[in-house]
Amino acid sequence: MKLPPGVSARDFDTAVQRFQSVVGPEWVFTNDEDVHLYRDAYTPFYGEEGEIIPSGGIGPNSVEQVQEIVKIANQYGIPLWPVSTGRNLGYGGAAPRMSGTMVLDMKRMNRVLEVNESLAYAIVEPGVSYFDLYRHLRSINSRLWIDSADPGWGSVMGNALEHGTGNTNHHDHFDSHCGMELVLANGELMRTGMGALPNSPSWATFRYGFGPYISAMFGQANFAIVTKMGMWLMPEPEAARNYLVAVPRKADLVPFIDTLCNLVNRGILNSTWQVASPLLSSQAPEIAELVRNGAPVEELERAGHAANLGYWGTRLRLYGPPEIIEAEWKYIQERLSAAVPGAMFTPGHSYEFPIDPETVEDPPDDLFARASISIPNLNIFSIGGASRSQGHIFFSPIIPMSGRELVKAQEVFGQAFKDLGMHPPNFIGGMAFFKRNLVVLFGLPVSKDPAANQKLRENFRALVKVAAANGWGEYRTATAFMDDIMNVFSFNNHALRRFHETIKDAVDPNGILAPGKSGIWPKRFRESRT
Amino acid sequence: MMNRRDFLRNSAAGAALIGVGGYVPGVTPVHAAPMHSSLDKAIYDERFRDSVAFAREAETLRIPTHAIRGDITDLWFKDLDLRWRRDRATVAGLTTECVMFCLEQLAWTHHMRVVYRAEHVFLPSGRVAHAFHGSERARAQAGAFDGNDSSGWAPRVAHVIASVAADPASRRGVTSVLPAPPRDDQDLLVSWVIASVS
Repeated sequence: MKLPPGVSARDFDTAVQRFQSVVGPEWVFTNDEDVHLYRDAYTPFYGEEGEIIPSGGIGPNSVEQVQEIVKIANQYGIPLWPVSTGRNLGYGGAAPRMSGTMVLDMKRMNRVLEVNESLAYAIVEPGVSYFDLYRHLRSINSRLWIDSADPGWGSVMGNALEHGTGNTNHHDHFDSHCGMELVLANGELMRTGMGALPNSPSWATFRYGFGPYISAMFGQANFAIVTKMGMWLMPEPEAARNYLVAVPRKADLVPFIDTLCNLVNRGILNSTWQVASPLLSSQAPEIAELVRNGAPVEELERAGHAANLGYWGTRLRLYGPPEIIEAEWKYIQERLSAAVPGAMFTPGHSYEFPIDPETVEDPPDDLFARASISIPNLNIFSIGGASRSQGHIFFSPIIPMSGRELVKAQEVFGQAFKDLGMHPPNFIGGMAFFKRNLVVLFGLPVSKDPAANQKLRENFRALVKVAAANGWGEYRTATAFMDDIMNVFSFNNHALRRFHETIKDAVDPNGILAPGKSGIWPKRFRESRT
Repeated sequence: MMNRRDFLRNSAAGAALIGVGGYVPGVTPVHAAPMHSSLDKAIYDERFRDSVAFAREAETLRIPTHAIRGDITDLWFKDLDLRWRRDRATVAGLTTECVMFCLEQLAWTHHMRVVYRAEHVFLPSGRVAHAFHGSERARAQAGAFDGNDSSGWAPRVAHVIASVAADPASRRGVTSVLPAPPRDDQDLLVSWVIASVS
């Protein structure tokens, strides 16, 4: 445990007693064993001086308790780090950005407050996980779907606020939110959008309200604590089908991506997809050897042709009435065949709804099958067998959804990996998490070896700079690198960061809410910025 | 504020249970009375023969077992998530590290913690190295795990975790036993006990 910077032991103890009087002694955690679970399970600073150690945790179970906690925190200068379920693995987990921060753990605030079947939304508290919402919807015989992140233990609200994504047509989670209730840094309660109009039935239907669209500024931010949020839900479709598409040649990537982008922009492709290389990831011994030995592209393509493996491929998921899916699929095949001669199409799995979830398993070639039809699960943790699990951090730069841009990213990052002495991946693909964009996602393993982690941190920071030099910024990052990411958004002498800080100083003058989140530091801790 | 020390002082779990059918290092309790199990269930992964062997031995100790194949979704969603809301049943297992990690995270909300864990690392030589994290009592159990023993260790784990589950004093403290930690690239299974701490 570490004390909050600038807070005396006596003031901290007094604040802890005050917190206990609000939530009960059993829900305030300051002993080392309990605080341990608020450390980042995937920290790249394991056991080092730089590892972020919270001062403790507080578990409120109501908005009123959150308000009281915030008032006490203001009085004693205790910084708070709000978490929903605290499972932001790969991006910092439940750990704060600054040692000595107290984690405000809202897991116990886990009520589904409202489900509106016809308008297709739910209003949830922070601690509602995908499992919780799924269970609730089934218990009321709702025909609405969640869109679960992987794994499904995360918070519906928390994942959305972090700009997380899923699989279905509602995969952009922040884009699916509508209306918030927040506790401000002074303990006041505020609602955004139409929620600011008392008794409005449009709080969770009309996103903008009147005037500035304020909700957007609370994603990945530290301007307030979100305590309720509306989420739009997808009505259960009649069917879900997925299809494998592959293209034979390396050079097909450009027309492949550009056509998929056009299909997204036309509203034909609405779920998430990712481009990978069936050929370069093949485990067939003869192909794996060619890849290992750096065989020329032509030789690889011949091997792929012989094995019926595309150089690039993706799985597309379509939802709706079967006749509409079939029409969309016919159109997709026509467009892709015209753009990429030799494109290969293979039907994947097909589901008709309603379906008994007990009958659904993840087939070996589709780990996201259940999540793609709204069944949350933890199967992602079964990857890797008995190998030691140290975790990973994600390096996740955004590029436009352009074939040429992806080719450029492959060249740039491929060279960067070599220059940094990192083991390059067999291929670099792209993930269509957001419309008009691809995320070029790398999972970089962490370990418990300080030397290896130091090298990892150096490499990560170098990659951030390489990306920025090409105009690519990260859409999300681990707490350890938030300053590094914010630093590259430097237009006009870091005008954006200065704007963030102006807002921060105005709405949180005592700097108690999540200091350092997304590189936004309150005035009293601004020298902590790296 | 309740902490683990308070819990151990106030716990009604009987240390005397250790003496009843308890596992003595190096001695197989052939005629010992069936152990009273404080465990709700022991989790094992069907993909790993040692984990299966652990489960078979646990069953001889009358500990209910639950099989997974790496994925704990059903175990969590249909069983523990609901069970732990009602009462904080102790569970244990010999599984992959990921499984223990997942359950540790999920248990936290219910004031439950991993109170005991051990790593069983498969060395290239064929040996299995064991690293126990626990109290002196747990370390005494560790003496039974000979580094030259590449088989037969897994059933002994069932006795160890049963003893730990039954004896709160075994859970006190976290002390690493073996020297250098295994390399990142070595496979391992972990044994663990998750129990209530409040």
